[in-house]
Amino acid sequence: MRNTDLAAELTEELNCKTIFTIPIFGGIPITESVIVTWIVMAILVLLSVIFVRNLKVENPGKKQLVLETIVTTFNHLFEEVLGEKGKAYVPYLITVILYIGLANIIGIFGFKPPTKDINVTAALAIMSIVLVQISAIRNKGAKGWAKSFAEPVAVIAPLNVMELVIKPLSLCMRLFGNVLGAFVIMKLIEVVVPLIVPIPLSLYFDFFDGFLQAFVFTFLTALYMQEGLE
Amino acid sequence: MISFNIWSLVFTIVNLIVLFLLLRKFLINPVNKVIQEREEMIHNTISSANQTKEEAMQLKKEYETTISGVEAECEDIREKSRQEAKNEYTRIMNEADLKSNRMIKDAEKSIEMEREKALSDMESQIADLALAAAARIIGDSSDDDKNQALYDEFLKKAGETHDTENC
Repeated sequence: MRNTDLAAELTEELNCKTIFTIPIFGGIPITESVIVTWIVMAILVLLSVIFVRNLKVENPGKKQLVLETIVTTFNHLFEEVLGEKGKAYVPYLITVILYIGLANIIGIFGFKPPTKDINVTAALAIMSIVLVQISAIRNKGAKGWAKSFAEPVAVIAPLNVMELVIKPLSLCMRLFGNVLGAFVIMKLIEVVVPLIVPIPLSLYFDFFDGFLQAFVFTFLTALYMQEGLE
Repeated sequence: MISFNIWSLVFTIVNLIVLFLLLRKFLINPVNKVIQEREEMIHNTISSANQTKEEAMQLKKEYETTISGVEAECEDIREKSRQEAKNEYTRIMNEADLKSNRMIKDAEKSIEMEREKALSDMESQIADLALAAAARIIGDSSDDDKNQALYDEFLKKAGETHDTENC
């Protein structure tokens, strides 16, 4: 009896519900993940607006120092991988790492993490691979980009073309699997031992794993871009 | 669990682009701008400090050369003034020597002249006295012939005494 309850509850939790439907084009469903993404966006933009106000060149306050440290840490992290040519793509990567980071830990505020929805991670991965290809085309030109598939030898060209799908698929699935796994485990633990025990485990599964996956996702995107920027 | 929903995918892509634009406007660009401004400020400050230092060093060198020049010049001037003072001293001493010698000579000369003058005065006075004495001795009985004879005799005698003195 209890087992079926738990299973039903979990399935319920794992389903990405459609909150409402926009009644055009035969109904556009707005899912929970999209709503939570909006919340994440709102939080990020609001925090930015609040903390970025009154930036001072001289004698920055503590808040400004923390903010600058965060931004410069990410800047250095990605610039080191991308090099001078890839500077223009750093802001996008910072956006993605902030978004995934907050999306992964938003579960502790009672929302379902949007990264638990495979459509969101797929969208992120598609954006990444598109950006990787755009940066490569902009760097090498369309011809150079097309030729780069036949490098280092022409025989492996099919493999290189397959990578166009494999890379984003691995990005998408890694993020989705990690967040889903963490979410399921945390739910199970909360059902079994609802007191105290979930706290350290939540620190690991939500915070550590969440930030780690955000880092891995963006870092891998940067690495793929660096291949095209060489 | 894995349900593909093309709308969620599209919405997420749109959301990501919007979030990227918003964060770039509100977070990344302002922070980067401030950091860049600070870097520029620091760079400017350091370069201006270096420039000031260089200028200061240049000035210091100039001052040092000037000071050493001044010292040498001082030594020169001191030496020169010492020399001049010495020269002036010797000149004044010599002049004083000469002057005093001349004065002594002048004094001697004038004394001599005075003496001679006194002597001749005395001579003439003696002659007058003699004349007066003779006149008194002779009294009224005197005429020109006698007088003349007496004169001559006296003068002769006086001349003799004078001559003997001179000889």
